[in-house]
Amino acid sequence: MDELSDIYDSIVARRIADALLQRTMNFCIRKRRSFESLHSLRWRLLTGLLPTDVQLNNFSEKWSSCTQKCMTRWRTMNEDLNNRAPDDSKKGEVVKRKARFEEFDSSSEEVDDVTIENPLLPKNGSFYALRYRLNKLCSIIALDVDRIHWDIPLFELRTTRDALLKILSVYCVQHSCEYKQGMHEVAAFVFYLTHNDATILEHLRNERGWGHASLPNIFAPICPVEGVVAVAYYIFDAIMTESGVNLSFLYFSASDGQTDGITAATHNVQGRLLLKLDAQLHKQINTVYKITPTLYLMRWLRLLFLREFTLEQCADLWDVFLSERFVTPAEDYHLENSVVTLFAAVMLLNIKANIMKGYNEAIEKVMRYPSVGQISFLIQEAVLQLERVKHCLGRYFVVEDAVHVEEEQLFGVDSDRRVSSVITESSVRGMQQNIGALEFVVTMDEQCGTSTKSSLGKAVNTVNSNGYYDVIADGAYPK
Amino acid sequence: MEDMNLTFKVVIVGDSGVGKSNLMTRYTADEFSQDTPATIGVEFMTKSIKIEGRDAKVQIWDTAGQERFRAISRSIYHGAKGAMLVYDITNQTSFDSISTWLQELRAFVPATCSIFLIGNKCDLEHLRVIKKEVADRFARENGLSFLETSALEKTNVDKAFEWLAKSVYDHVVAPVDSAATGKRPPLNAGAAAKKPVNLSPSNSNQPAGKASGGCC
Repeated sequence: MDELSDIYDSIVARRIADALLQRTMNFCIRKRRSFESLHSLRWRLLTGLLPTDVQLNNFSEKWSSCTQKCMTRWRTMNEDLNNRAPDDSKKGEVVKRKARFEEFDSSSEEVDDVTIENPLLPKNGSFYALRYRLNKLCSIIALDVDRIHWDIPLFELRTTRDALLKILSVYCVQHSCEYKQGMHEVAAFVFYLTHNDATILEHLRNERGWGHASLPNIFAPICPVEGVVAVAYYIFDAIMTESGVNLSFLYFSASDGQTDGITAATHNVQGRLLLKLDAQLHKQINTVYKITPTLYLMRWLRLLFLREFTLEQCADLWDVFLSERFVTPAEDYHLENSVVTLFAAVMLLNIKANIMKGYNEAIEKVMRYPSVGQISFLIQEAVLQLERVKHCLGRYFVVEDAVHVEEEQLFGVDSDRRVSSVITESSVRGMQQNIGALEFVVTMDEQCGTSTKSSLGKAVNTVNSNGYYDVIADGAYPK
Repeated sequence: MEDMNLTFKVVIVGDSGVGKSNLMTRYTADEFSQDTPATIGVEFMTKSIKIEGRDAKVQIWDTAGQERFRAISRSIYHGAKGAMLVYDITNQTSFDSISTWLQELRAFVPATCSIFLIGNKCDLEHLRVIKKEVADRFARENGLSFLETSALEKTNVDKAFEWLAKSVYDHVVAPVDSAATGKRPPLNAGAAAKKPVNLSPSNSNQPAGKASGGCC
């Protein structure tokens, strides 16, 4: 398949990272790959779970080895947890059982008497205290996991729910933190894509009987069906921590107790970032309506927009979020000031017309964001804004190319669509590739130079995605 | 005098999983779903109603049951004229949490806010762990109105919201109307803070015990 071929080609050419970013930021051919982009594999590369400094002669071994380590460590963590908190269902002599029961009562009382901010503290002596708290944690998580449906048969399986329960409870134990609502959907989305990718590779491997040299055979051990839970756990852990976008910043206060990530991030979106995009809209929301940003942005940000867009759109969106993290030094990355928050501000701009109608209309639209046909245009705007602050992703971003547009026209796709920026999609390598990138940078500079606030404001007064696109093309960007 | 269109803000609070979201969707859209996902942050729905012959709109804010999040609590509760404290009659813990939720409500809502205690899932009688009498006593001791509902079977759902809207009207709107027309406010204004008071003569014949009516 295309993604495997592209990965393999980039390994041969020794430009894995560059090619990866070009794929994550390429929205020309998005439709062709959809869920076949192997997002979980991309994310492991972008978060460092898989190294990008591999070569043709060792990549298979290294990546398979990393995968095996994930699976081994996952098994070890679960065994450690079971050893520290033995299951009540273990059988024993009657007398011993009674003794344990009495001890449990005592532990339970002790636990109830103490207000615990952190429900899972391994150091509290009794196995039964830990078991009690683990059971409590699991029952809270199960309540939410059992409420995930997404119209996907995978989530009706007991094995899936058990997997999610394990991923979330192990994460909470490992990081000594609470479970917070919302984490369950982040984990579910990661699990879904990891499972999807492993399934795709399994099917490909079974379909082609070409022998051991085929790509599916090479990549199957890197995305093994039996390792889905382990790999999903590590991707989830990475996304929640600083290996990824540090999403835990939005769920938990900093250790100093003063920094509240969700408040800082939400106020930044509706405050400084929105002000830069559109002063009128900023004033309307903050001064006229006095909408507290946390009301709606808490869900937008904590779930990384899973409730606002389709799963397919979110997969592409998270590619972009993790790409920014990948190209940004750890000390320079701040979630509250990232392409994630910029994207949220652009979302507000996108529904400006509805927001300006009145308070009730504004609240309804931010609470139930209208579906977007082409998310790439919102991403483009966010990346453009990001590029003005730091040059990191703009040179990789592509929306449409002439060839693609022609293809769509041949098949009767909307002929009114226009090209907002033309970059020839090139398979050349080395100098030619660099020349192509430079051309894109020049084009980007021109776009930045010619766009004005009024043009942007006018552009987003149109609500539907086609209108949004057309007006942008007409008013804001040279053809 | 205020505009003719009244808008009431009502908040629904209670532990996670007691059925807050389904109460809201059952009342506003007559929809119940076994697939309702966990509420993250807050959900918002409105319903247009008539009360005392006037057009009114109820803004319902459905909250996340797990989140104790001060920054968002303030804005959710701000301006709320009615509140529903919801517990699950099959879940002892959810009832035990009611006093904590009430304490949080009292900290943020105006003193005139009408608060209802709602025991949901009354269709699960065979799994009941909270006796109606226990909840009714708690309600009386804390100045709350009490009703048992089933969002699943749509039992008492409309009644709960309509009573809440009526109570809000009587506490907040009617006194303003009375002042505007020169009438003296009722002498038992202090007591009104504890219990809903029906100023309309047409409702005076309703038995007081009705407030604690459950499933029939």
